[in-house]
Amino acid sequence: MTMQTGGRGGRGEAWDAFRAGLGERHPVFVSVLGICSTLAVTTAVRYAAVMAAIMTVTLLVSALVVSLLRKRIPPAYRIITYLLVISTPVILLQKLLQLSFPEIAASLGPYVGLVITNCIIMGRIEACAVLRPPAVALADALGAALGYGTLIVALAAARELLGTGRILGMALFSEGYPPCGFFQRPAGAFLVLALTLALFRRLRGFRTPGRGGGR
Amino acid sequence: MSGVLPGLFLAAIFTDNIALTMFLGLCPFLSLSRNLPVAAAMGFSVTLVMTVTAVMDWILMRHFLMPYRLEYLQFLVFILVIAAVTQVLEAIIDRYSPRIYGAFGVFLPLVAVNCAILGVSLFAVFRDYGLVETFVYALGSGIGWTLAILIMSGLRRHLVFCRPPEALGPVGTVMTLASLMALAFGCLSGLVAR
Amino acid sequence: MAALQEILLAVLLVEAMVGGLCVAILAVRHLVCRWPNVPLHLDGTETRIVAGGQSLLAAVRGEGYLLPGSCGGRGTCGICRLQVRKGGGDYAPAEEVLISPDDLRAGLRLACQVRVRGEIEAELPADARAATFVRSLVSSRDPLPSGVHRLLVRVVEPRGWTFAAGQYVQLFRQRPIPGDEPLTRAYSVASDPACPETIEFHIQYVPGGEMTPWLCGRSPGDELWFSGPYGGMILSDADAGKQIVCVAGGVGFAPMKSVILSLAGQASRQTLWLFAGAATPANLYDHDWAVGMAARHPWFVYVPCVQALPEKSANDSGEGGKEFEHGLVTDALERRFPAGTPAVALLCGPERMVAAARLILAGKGLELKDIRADTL
Repeated sequence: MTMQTGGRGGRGEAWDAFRAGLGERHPVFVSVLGICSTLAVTTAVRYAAVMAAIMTVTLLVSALVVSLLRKRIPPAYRIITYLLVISTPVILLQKLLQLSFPEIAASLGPYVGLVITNCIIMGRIEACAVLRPPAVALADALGAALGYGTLIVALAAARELLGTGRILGMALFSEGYPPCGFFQRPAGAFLVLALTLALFRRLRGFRTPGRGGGR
Repeated sequence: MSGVLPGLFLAAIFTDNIALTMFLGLCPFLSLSRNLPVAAAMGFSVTLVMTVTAVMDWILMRHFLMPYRLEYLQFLVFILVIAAVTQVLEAIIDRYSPRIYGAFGVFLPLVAVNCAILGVSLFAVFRDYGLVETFVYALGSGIGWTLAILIMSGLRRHLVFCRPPEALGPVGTVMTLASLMALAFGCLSGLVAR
Repeated sequence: MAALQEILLAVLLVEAMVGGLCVAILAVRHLVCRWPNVPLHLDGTETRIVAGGQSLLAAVRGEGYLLPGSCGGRGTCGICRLQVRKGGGDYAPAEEVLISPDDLRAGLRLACQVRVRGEIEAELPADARAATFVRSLVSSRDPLPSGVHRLLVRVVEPRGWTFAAGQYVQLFRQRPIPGDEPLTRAYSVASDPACPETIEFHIQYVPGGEMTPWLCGRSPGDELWFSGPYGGMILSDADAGKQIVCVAGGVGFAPMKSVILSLAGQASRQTLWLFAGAATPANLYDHDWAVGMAARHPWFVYVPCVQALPEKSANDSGEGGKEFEHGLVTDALERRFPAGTPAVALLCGPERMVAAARLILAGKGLELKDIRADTL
């Protein structure tokens, strides 16, 4: 993935970088990254919301740190440096989660730790943060995090509602609604994501991305 | 204990399939399932690295991190182990089997960033598996991942003859196939005695 | 106190593990990666015993043959080509990208992508056999208004080093050590081959590049190493009697300058067309020189082409736009060069320009063997 190299002014560039994460460079839909956790944590809205928050904080912190260090990171050791930078906030957030919401922490299990290998973070760092000043890197990271976060919360809402008839534990339908367990199952996750992707593409007018996927 | 192992192995392959149920290692699952030889090569590399790292990670976790209450360092240590194991395996395969290296060598570094590898190690710790169980679980998971990507690449060949809804796009189509495969794999739960 | 202890313990444990893993990797490398020595047959005439496990490029360079290459063995520049007759193993992905399927089947390989695992028979390109390391001293460096630097160097060692007009050399950032993989880039020689002790280079400054910012910081008296000469974009005796058509983009002008100087020295009667392309008139950095040469030598037809014409200003007598062809250099070639002329073509410029010019010239009846090119 290449960053545009046009010499735009600082604010315009940051805004463009932010917007790209929600549209033309959407991390999940366009770049097809970070699908693993997207599907695993979307059985209930509260899991998805916690995951989105963890992802946002981690992306912002690691983008900021890498961007500040970008001139000092030796290219040969950059990947391991990124991993160290990413794992620090993840470890802290996991501890915090275990202390404040032990039930959610137990349900999410290893998926919190797997944020470290989430390709979205690595992708944004390698494509943007390591090349750009902190303001642009932060905007870019926030865009990607919001793009990811809104998607997984929406997916979780659909799966929780259809699969259990409830949202955040509140029943939305009358007693007569038979919960469709399919949507709580893995197969349902794949299908809901596929349909959401179709919706996204429909809204954007079938513009095929430059890379990622393709038969 | 030994009676549980076959069940664990089959569960890891089918009902707990690392790609279709745990959603791990999906990036290469989607991007490398376009052709069969590449999918097979990637599957082999994943199985190999997964088994070796899960066992090593288990030993390090139980004998070095847990005694000192440093469990929170597991992510860091596991990632380092994965990186080291891929390097070592690459060197060994390169030296002793040029043909295998020619076919798989390119994929080993890719495996290092595959979240399925880290995921299996983390799950083994999370579920308190013993050493033998970890080995069986990791081997089964690797085989399960390979099976899933092989079936997917077989299915994708036939997509040439179909016209899936345009809005789905290539990724959406594969995702729908994965959904159907997940259903099919889930139905094998009768194999595994709970 | 307990916290401090835990931090210490954690740091020590992680360090120990990292250290242990590094030792394990090194030990495996040491135990496993011991390759036997293997015979390397070159051109069917000589056999060298080289260490296994290295790339063919490293092996050939280790034997003192300066095979060119710009990317440090990463398989991206595609310069280190040679013919492999036997051995060499399967094609690497980079080779399938950079070498045409026909050439691959005929045994053309990228030396940096071939691992020496067993006996290998290869053929060295003639220029790799003749090339030597050259030590030179910078005599001057002039930044020209268009971001091109004109670098003049004086050859110190070896004495009597020569090149043919149109050839290039590989400039090094450091003194090259045989067997090492130093940072190097290819630059065409722009000066007259009749005086090979003074060499002229045209260097397009690339901001943030690995090579050009360094090169464009050299000052008179600095040492500069290169190896060469390389390249088959040269004229031979068989080309006498044909017209010569040179198509240059940007600093692709450099080898053409050398060719023109060499022909001027031989009192040539061959018509030479030079289609020189650049973005703006300012980027045609040696325009005045070429205009002067064209005025003195009736056989030299100079066609400068710019994509953007200069804006008419008050002190401009209106001549500004007239002397330049407007548009791409290949458009001018299409318009101006008569079809069916027996000619040899020398092309140097960006890949797309070279590819387009090749098509146009083939369409105008030139034989493929008479179209010789270097891409920038």
